Amino acid sequence: MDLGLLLNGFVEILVPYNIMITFFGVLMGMLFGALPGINASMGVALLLPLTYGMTPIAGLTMLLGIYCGAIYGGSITAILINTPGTTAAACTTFDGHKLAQQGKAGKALGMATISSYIGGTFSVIVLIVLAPVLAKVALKFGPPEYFALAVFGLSIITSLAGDSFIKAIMSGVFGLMVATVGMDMMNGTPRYTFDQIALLDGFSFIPVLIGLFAVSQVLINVETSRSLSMKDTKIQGMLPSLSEMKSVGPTIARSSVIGTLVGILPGAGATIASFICYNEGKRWSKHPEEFGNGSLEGVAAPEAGNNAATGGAMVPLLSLGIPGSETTAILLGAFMIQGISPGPLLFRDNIHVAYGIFAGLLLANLAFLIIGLFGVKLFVKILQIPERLLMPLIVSMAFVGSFAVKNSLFNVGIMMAFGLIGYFMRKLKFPITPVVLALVLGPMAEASLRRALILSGGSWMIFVQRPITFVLLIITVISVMFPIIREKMTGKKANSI
Amino acid sequence: MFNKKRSFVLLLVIALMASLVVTGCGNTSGTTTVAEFKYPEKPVNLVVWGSPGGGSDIFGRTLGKASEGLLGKPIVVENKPGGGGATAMAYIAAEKADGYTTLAVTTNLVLTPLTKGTPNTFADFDPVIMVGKDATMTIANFAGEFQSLDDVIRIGKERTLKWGTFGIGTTDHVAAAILEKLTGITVDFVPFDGGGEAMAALLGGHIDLLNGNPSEVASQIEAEQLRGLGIYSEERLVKYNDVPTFKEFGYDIIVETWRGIVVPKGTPDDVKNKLYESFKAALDDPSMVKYYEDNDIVKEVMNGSDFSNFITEQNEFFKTILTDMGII
Repeated sequence: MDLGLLLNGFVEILVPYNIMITFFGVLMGMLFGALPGINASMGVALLLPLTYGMTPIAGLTMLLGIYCGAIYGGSITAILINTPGTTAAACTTFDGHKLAQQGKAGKALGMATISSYIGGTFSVIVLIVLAPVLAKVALKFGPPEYFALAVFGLSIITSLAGDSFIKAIMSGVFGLMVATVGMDMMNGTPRYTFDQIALLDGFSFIPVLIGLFAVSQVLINVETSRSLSMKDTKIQGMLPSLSEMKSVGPTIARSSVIGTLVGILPGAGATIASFICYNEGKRWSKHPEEFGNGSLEGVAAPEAGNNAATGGAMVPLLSLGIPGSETTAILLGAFMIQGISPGPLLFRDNIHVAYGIFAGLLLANLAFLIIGLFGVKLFVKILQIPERLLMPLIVSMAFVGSFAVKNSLFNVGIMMAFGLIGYFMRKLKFPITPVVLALVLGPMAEASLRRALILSGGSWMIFVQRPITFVLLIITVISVMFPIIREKMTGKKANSI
Repeated sequence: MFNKKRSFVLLLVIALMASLVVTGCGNTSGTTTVAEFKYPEKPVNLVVWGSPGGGSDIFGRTLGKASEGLLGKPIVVENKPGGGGATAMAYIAAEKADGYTTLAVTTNLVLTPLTKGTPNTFADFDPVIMVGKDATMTIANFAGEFQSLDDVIRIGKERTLKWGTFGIGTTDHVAAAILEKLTGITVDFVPFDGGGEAMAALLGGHIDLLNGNPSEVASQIEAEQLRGLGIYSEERLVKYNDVPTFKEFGYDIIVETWRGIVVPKGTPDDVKNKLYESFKAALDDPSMVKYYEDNDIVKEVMNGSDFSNFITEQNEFFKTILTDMGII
């Protein structure tokens, strides 16, 4: 790290034009993120052509602003209408929407904004200070390590269980089954595609997500009036108070660290980060029983985590030239268009651009903090839209969003089908989030398991011999056993007293 | 003030109505007669099968923009991603063969139907122009045990090589499989979803080798983190002059990713000619010149009938090898 260069970066970014461009990018990102159906990568791709005529720093900062803004923006709809705008905000629905129903939408939004800002900024600082070191650590993750990470992620289903543990497991298994549809990537066999070309790549993620969350929620609302639109609920307390902020401090700090580390791993990303952070937030919380019933920590944990993953994802992109996700792959293209190749040479050939981007990232995080905090008052107005207007609006957004993913009507059908599935799941009190988690992690677990076994020549010892893998798997076992252990321990204490 | 506003609205309404009449007339008179060739009369659709920001998308958008002025009508680029191109192929094959829908294709035009068994094949399309080829390069970790092609063959005979691929039956997979067969080395293929994960696995030493497009690894090669060992082309690449071809070692393996434009089968010849001339001229546009250079694509232009013969040859070539590999 070089403070002089960073200062130079700030000098470059803090001119009115660049500030304006950054705020524009962040604002568009928030809009994309908040709209279910448009995620960060689509938003970045959509506005990429605008950057052709810009300087590298301005153009790239705008795109990074969209990225950070979208990851944050997903929480807005998650909290207000119980539909995550992006996958990374799926966990935010649990407590965020509960808080909104209790009339604390402002607090939830404020908490999401502040924790996203802290998580995002922390990750940028880590990026600036430690990028080369961490990139090397990320390379230590091979297929066996990714398998262990995916299994650890899947174990989180146990803590997503609401009333019934069995129902959560069933939801998770259903998600895993859905994830098997499509071309088997290891030998090219089509699985459960029924000769449908549109299913060769498996179920598209966004239509499934929109169906399960948004459409099913609308169907539920149609029969039980007034559970979503809180026209009459008095909105109390706009922002979290200082003491509330203090109490979630440790959660935000923990999520920032975890989110950054998960974000660094190519192929992991913001969604997995948010799930792990929610899980850890619940595990270490002093009030785990509040999770799922409107806990501010339950909003802070995933939101700090998913935005921390944005800075983390920049580590392999900038220092190795490796895109870890769809969004960073498009960003890589944006660098190339500017004539800059991210990777080992970035810090040799274009070091001022690198530091300009660092400064730009810090500004982008600040931008969504400012827009977010000022916007809270405006966002909560959504809740005052009469239900008869809001519901059709959500449904039409669901149609447009599903179609936009691949310009295909097939996905609209998928969205409707999963809307029905989600409706019955809600009716029968099956939790929905395990399906999403399994959809994200299932393919990763399967592919890395099979890759690992190819590497080891079929020997399962590879999962014991590699230290990182072994430790992760042990943590998984402990994590699954933790609730039981804690019960035993508190029980013992109670006995001894 | 109020009056002014009203008269402005009135004017706008009249203008809109007039434009309706004009476009309405335009359509009726626009039915093409046999005698007179008028193409294009409306925007031309160029479908790409990649997602926005991907390789196919950048190709389609650059070419589309460069040829717009030459064709005389706008070119609208549309993304139809999915199924390794199968979605776009099905979509285009069902469109009218009038020259208003075109498709940017790659080697997947033959590979996808072969490996995935999808219904539409190259025979459903008329090739218009081939514009170039991306080379395939074998790369290894710079500091690792593979310093040259000789090392690959020597070590490959001592132990099983872990060779990463970007899928099953992809160009990079096929190239390595031919090498395996010709040299007698033993290889375990490790398929990855995307470029990023495979590259990370190579840099981290989890796999031995990878076949990739040079532009994707340019900066790692320059930074001496990865090393190019061999090129599956006829000749060495200008930019990577120190990387030998496999041919120089006596292994005649030519596997490249070609790119071009096709239209639905049965499109009239004069339309195809017009498209060919426009696209061909567009290749000299500065933006296309830069595209070739930035993406390490070797410019190689073929007209429709040559491209058609070439595709048929390629189909036979890949069919034989994929059958041999046990994939189809």
